[in-house]
This record gives sequence, structure tokens and C-alpha cells, in this order.
Amino acid sequence: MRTRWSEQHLRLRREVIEFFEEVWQPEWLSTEPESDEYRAMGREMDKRLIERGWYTLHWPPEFGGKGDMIQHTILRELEGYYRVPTYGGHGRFIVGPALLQFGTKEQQEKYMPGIADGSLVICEGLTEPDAGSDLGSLRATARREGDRYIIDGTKLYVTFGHYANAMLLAARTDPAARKHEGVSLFLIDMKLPGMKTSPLMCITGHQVNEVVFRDVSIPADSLLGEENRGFYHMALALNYERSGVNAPSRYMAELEDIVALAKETGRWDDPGIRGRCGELATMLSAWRAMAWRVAGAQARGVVPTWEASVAELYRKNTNPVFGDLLIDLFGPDAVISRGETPAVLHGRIEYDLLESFNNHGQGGLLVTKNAIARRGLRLPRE
Amino acid sequence: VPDLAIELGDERLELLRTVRSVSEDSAKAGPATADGHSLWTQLAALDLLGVGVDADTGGSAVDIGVIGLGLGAGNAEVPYAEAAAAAIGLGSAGGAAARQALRGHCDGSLRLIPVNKNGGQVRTITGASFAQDVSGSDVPAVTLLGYEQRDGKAALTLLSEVWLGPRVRTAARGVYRSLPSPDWDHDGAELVAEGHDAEVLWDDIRSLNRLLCAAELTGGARWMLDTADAYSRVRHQFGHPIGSYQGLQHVLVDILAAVEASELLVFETLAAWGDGGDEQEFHDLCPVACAFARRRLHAVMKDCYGVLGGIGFMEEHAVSAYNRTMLLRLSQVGSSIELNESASTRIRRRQWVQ
Repeated sequence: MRTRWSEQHLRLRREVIEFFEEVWQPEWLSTEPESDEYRAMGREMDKRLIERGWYTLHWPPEFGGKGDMIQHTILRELEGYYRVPTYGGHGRFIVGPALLQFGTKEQQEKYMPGIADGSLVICEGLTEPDAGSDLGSLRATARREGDRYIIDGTKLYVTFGHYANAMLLAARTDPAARKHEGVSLFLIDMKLPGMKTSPLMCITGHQVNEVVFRDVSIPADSLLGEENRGFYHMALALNYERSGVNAPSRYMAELEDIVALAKETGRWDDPGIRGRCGELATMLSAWRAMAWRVAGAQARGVVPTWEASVAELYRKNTNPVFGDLLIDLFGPDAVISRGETPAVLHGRIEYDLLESFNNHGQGGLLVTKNAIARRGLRLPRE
Repeated sequence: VPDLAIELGDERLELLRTVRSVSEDSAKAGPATADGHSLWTQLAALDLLGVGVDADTGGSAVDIGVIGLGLGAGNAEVPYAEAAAAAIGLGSAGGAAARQALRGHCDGSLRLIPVNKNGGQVRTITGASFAQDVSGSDVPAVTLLGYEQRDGKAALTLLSEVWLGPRVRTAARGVYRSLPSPDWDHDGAELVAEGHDAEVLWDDIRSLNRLLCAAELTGGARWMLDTADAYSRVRHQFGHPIGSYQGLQHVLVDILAAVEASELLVFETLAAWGDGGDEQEFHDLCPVACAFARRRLHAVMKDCYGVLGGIGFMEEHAVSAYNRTMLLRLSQVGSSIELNESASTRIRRRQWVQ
């Protein structure tokens, strides 16, 4: 990968590596991710990235951007590799770029500074009880009444919802339109009368949320982009962060720690274990190459739709291999939770093992393959 | 030209087209005449054998990979991966014998074949993948570049004018001959490097050889993807094209994902080779790219047969010829066990940020 970067990119990479080496703390790995301590570390790291002008590196200069998409991807990969705690939600990655593309001048002025200085945390309200992978089937409605919209419906699995200040909401504005054509996007406050946020706990201990809307009234200028074009706006907005390059690098760092531990405990003497680790490293390299391909396309201004799905497919194919290796390496110790005395690597092995079942993101495995079949291979429909 | 995962640029795409085209023409000539010699001569006439090894011709390891990709896509059966890897090694070695052999490689008058004289995996690389009828007077003999460890000391030796043994029946398409045990001690053998230098050179040659085999395999796998994809659109069962069924679509998606990643890994690795490259990245990635090609492209071959069904299993179908060549290349990339082990030895703390 290094051979493809310019000297400018390599320089930034060296700076970022030096910085993360300097500020890295073991507590990043040992602290409970849903704890106040972890969030405080995330806030602190967001702040330090902002100070260096790295937080919104890929934004246009007038909104504080100082770099390009490749530099942003270099930073993201290293954030994953050093497992840097973060706090700021989707604003930096998805909502900010979406605002730049579809937002009004007023919306940009209202939200962009807060996203850029880390004070505004934005979550996404997309998934619903009956609309997950099939986002076009969402049922939450936004009914126009004069100069306001009235929101009704339920959003599920809202990450950051319990501490976000704002939400990027997708709701149906034209119930009579075809399913992908009656959806609009809104940027709304999280503390509105009629909104109720309740916790849902993931098996990894992360909190996501259910957010219920009952006759929630929002001003009409909350609309982001064109009315009824929200599905297409969202598809483009999500592409800004579709390389997912921070994920294979995080896995690789975990693998490096695991290999170091296996060497200490003597498990590394087993050629079967070494081969399995080599196979996992191979899959991670393939995943990384695919993720960088997506980033390269983005840097050229190309929207990488199915290519991003191929990168995502590598995540879904790597997960079970990783989980299987953890069980083989650590046996029953692999399931000991964080906080218990014999927990391996402060419970990270248990966390990684549980996380290896996280195959639903960006649609399940079959949905991901369907997307590649349709957009990448353009295969006929049955 | 296939829709590639890698950004090659116009010149390299043209190179790919040319190599693929001459390879396909050669393959169409059929088994009786496809002894590889005419294609080898053509590659030399087009100045392609000197690419990446001859300063006058220019080019880089990436260009060599592009040629490998084209040869694979055109199902060529010539020992290009072996000869190019050996030539790169000889270029680093220096010396009169090495220079002479390099000249012979570039003008097509000889075929360099690396041989591990101590046996093992590399020896199987050399025994196959070239097909020539030694009874033809215009067919050159093989020049061996032999590596050995004797009495604890490494040596790399050139041996010219080695004639092949009798024909050997193989799964592959062309005419194959066994590699005899040559007399390495005869007067014509010339020492190219010894000791640590020989070890380093041999390690590079072996790595490049495997990687170029992976490049050819990837070219063949891209052809298989195109073939399976096209068939899925015209073959109807139960009233619909089979490519409209989700189960089959997912098989094609797995093929696509493997081919795309293999292209990226092979070329990322080749880009790290040589001047302006990154030696550590090359050695980190090489077993990874080879292990990936070895396992995942084998799966591609299986899946291609799955899509084609019975018609693909017929000897007359083009996929048979590709499959046989690719089987050979698979065996030359190395064993999965060895490659995974090799990839594991590269895992170390902060590996991706060094």
C-alpha cells in the first residue's frame, strides 16, 4: 500500500503514527466501551484530533478541511489500528459531507461548526422494526402541516442515540409513491416533545437505542436535500464512509496482540495455530486491499457502490474465521468477561469473539451479496 | 480486456491486451502445435521478454505482472513466471555468465528455469509448465539456474544446454517432458553467486516466481469469471436464466470477490518490488498474496464448474484447457500450509505501521 501513496500522504502518515504512539494508552483497550471513562477518553481524543486539524481532514477548506480523501483514509486506518476511542458519532463521517452536498447554507452554518469542533454528536435514524436491510420499506412518516412536518414511527438500533444532540432521520413523506421515491431526510434535535429514547443492549455490551416518535413536530426547514429524494441522498451520503478501512486495521492490531500472547504462552509452537493466524492475516490483507480500492475510487470522485459491498463482504467472511481462531487459541478462557480476573487481554478476547457475530451491519451477508450481484455483476432479476 | 480491480493506466492496458491476444491465438492453434515455442518467439519479437529485466526495454515488476495476467487470461503455456523471476535474479547477480544468460532470455534464444537442486517445492515448479518438442531443430534447450545448499554453503549455478527427458503425460494440455538430473559438475556450469548472496537471490527468485504464477492464475480466474457470468445469462432452467437465481448469483459474487482481491494483492506486492519499492512490504505481502491466490482461486475454479454444470466438465469446453493450466500454476504457487505458515511469521507488533 505504501508504494501507492505520495510523499505528502506518507508524511501525514508518519505524523499520525508518531502522534498515536505518543498519546497511546493501555486504558484504550482495557476500559469498558460503554463507560463514562471510555467516553471521556473519546472526547479527549476527538479534541486532540481537532487541534491538529485532522478531525475533518477531508472536508472543504472553508469548513476546516486540510486534506484529501486519501489522507482522511490514512487517518481512519490508523485510528482503527491504534484502536483510538472516539465519541463524536456520525457527523464527522456521514452527516457533514451530506450537509455539504445537499444542505442549505443555513443548515451548513447551523451544524457544520458543531460537528467540526466535536460539540455536536449526530446519530442516524434509519432502521425500523420492519425496515432494516430493505431500507426502502421504512414506515416512519413525516406529514407536512403548514410550515412544519409531523413525525410518527419507530427507529431501531440507533447508535449514539443515548447521548447524541441531533439525528439524521429518514421518514416517508409520500406514502403513495414507489417505495424508494417517497422518502426524505431530516436533521432534527434529539430532545423534542413526543420523542422517547430507550436502551437496547448489544451482546458486546454496547448500547444502541430505540427511538419512538409520536406526533413530533419539526420545522419544515429541517428537511435535508430534496423532498422525496432521501433514499438516493442517503445512498450517496453513506458512500463517504464506505471503505470501512478502520475495521481491518483494528482486527490486524488485535491479531498482533493475540500472536504476541500465543508466543508467551507457548501456543505459537503449534504449527496448526501459526497457519491459522497466517490465513487470517491473508484475509485481513485482502479486506484491507478492497477497502483501499474503495477509498481510491472516492478520491477520484467515483461513487464506489458495489466495490464497497465487496469490502463489506470481506468483513463478513473474516468474522467467523477470527472467532473460530479465538476459540481454538484460548479455549474456555475466550469467553471470560471483562472485569473477571482471568479474562484474556482484559476481556478483549471475549469482546472480539462476540463481535465476530456482528454480521448484520450494512445489511446481512445475503443482502450484501445481493447488492454485489445487482450492482457489480448486473445479473438479471428472477 | 476484463474490468480490472486495479488501475493499470492506458499503456499497461494495451500491454495486457497484446499479451492476451497473442496467447489466445497460440492457444487456439491447439495441443498439437501449442508447444509454447511459437508463442515464446512472439513474446521475444514483441520485446516482451526483456520487460522489467532489461534496462534498454524498461518496465518494472508491475509490468511483468501485467504480462503474467495476460498470459493467464489467454491460457498460455510458457514458462514465463519461471524465466522472468530467474532473469530478475540474474540481473542482480552480475557477472559475465549472468549477463549472457540475460541476453539470451531477452532475445528468446533460451529459457531460464530455476531449479532447487536440493529438491523440495521449487523442483516441481521447473519440471512442468513448458512444452517443447526437442526433436525440432529450432527448439532451444533449457538453461537451468540451480540453487543448492552443499556442506552448509549456498550456491547459485547456471547450466546451459540441458535437454529434456521423455514426454510425460500430465493433466495439463501441452506436451511435457521430464527434467533429467543434469550433470551440474560438467565444464559448462558457471557459478553465479554463493554464500549469503546466493541465499538472498534465491529467496527473491522463489518469491517472484510464486507471485508471477499467482498473477497468471489471477488472469485465468478473471477469464473464468467472465465465462461463468456470460453463461449464467444465456442458460435457462425452469423458465429463467440461471443467473437470475439468488443461489447462483451468490456463487458468482464469491468468484468476483476472490478475483478482485487477488488482483489487488498481487499488484500491491509487485509494486513494492525493486527500486522505488518497499522491500519489507514486498516480503510481508508476498506469502499473503500467494496464499490468497492458492486457496481462493482454487475455489474460483470449483465455483466456475459449479455454474457451468455438466457442459464445463466436457473436455471440449474451453474451461477444461484453462482449468488444466491453472491447476499446474496452483501447484507452483506453493502449498497452503507452507504459505500460511510463511504469512504467520510476518505477523509482528506494529506490522502495518512500520
